[in-house]
Amino acid sequence: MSGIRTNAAAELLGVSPNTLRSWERRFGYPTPGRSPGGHRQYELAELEALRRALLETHNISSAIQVAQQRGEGPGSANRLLEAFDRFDDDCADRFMEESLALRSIERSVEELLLPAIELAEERDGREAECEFACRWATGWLHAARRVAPPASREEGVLLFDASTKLGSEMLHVQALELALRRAGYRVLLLSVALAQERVSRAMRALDPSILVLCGSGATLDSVGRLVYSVRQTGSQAPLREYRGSMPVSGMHKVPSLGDSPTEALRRLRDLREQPSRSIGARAPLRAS
Amino acid sequence: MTRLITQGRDQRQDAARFCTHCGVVTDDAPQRVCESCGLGVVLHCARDAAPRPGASFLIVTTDLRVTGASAACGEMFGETFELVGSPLVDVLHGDGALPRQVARAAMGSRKVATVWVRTAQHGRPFRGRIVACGDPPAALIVLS
Ligand SMILES: [Zn+2]
Repeated sequence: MSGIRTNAAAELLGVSPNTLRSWERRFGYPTPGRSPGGHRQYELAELEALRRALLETHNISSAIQVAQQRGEGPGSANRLLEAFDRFDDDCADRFMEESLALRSIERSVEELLLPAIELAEERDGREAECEFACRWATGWLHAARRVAPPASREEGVLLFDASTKLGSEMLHVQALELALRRAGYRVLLLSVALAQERVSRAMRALDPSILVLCGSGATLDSVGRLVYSVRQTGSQAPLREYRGSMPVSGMHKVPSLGDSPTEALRRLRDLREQPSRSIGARAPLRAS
Repeated sequence: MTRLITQGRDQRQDAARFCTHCGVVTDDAPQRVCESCGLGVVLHCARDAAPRPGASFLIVTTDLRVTGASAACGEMFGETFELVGSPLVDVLHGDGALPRQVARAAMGSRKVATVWVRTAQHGRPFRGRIVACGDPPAALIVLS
C-alpha cells in the first residue's frame, strides 16, 4: 500500500502542510513513513482516524489522543510495545500479521518492528520486557528469512556484524539481511570478530560483490584486521558501512549504505547501475 | 474522503466561529482546524458571546468535564495545570447554580448566563459568560 504525500494528507484534513508537520513534531502524530525519495508518506487509516477525531473533540491534542487509541491500527509501534510489556508473543505476532495485510515485510519491519524495539530499549527499568522484545523480534526475523525466496541474483553480499549484544542494532543488521535475501541477493552474515581463516573460507564460498560493515561496536583494530583478511583472499569487493558502524570518519570515511534496509537496497541498485563503480566490477576497497 | 470543514457561514447567520486554542474568529474560513495557530478546532457559538482573540475560556461538556481550554488559560490557571480532562468542579468554583448553568448551555440552551467564579490559583473572582457552543455540543465559559 502506498502512502499519501504531505500536501494531499494536509488537504484531506483541511490544514496546511506546515500544520501537519508541526503536529508531528509537537505530538508525534500522525506518523508518516518515508518514500524512497525521503518524502513523508501518511497512512490513510491514520488520517481517517484523525479526521473523525477532530470532528468529535474540542482541541487538537485530544483529537490526536482519540485517533491514536482508536486508529492504532497495524501501523503503531506503541501497540507492539504494549504486547512486549505483556510478554505476549501471540499478540506481537498478530500485530505483525495485521501489518503484513497492509504493507510489505520491509515496511512492516522498518515502520513497526524496529521502532517498537527502539522504544522498548529507550526505557529504564524495563530490561526484562526489552529482552523479551529483542528475542521475539529475532525469532520473527528468522522465521521470515526461512521463507524468503532462493537467491535470484549473482551478486553476493557479505555482512560483517559488529554488534556485541542483543539489542536494536543487532536487529537492524538482521533486518538488513532479511531485506537483501528477499531482494534476491546471496547473503552471508558473519561476526566481525571472526578468525582470519574462517573469513577466507566464507569469501571463497560466497565470492561477495560487496562487503558491508554493520552493527555498532566495531573497533578500528577489528576493522583493520578484517580488511586485511579480506585483502589476503584477493577480493577487491568494495566496503560499505551501514548505520554509522564505521569507527572512523574523515579521511578514512567508508561510503555508507544508509540507515534502513530499503535505503541499502536502493544504494546497492544505484551502485549496480553505475558501470564504473559497479559492485560487479569489483572496485577496490576504499579502506585499507 | 471529503475536505474537513465546518458548516458554512450562510447556514448559521447568527453564529460566530472561533478557535478553541487562540480564540481567533475565523468566520470566512470553513476549516475545522484553526488556520491561525493550527492547535485549536473551530467551533460555533452565538455571535454576541464569541470570545475575543487571546481570551481565557473553557469548553465543558454535559458531564461537566473540561474538554478544551484556550492558550490564555495558562496565565490564569498556571501553565502546568492540566485543564483538559479535569472535572469542572476542580477548575472553577462558583455558586451552586454553576453546574446547572453549564450543563444547560452544553445541552444547547440559547440563554447566555453570567456568573462569578474563582479559580484555585487566584483569589479574586472572574466574570464568566456561559453560552452554548459546538460541535460537538458543549458549554463555552469565557472568563474575564
Ligand atoms: Zn487558533
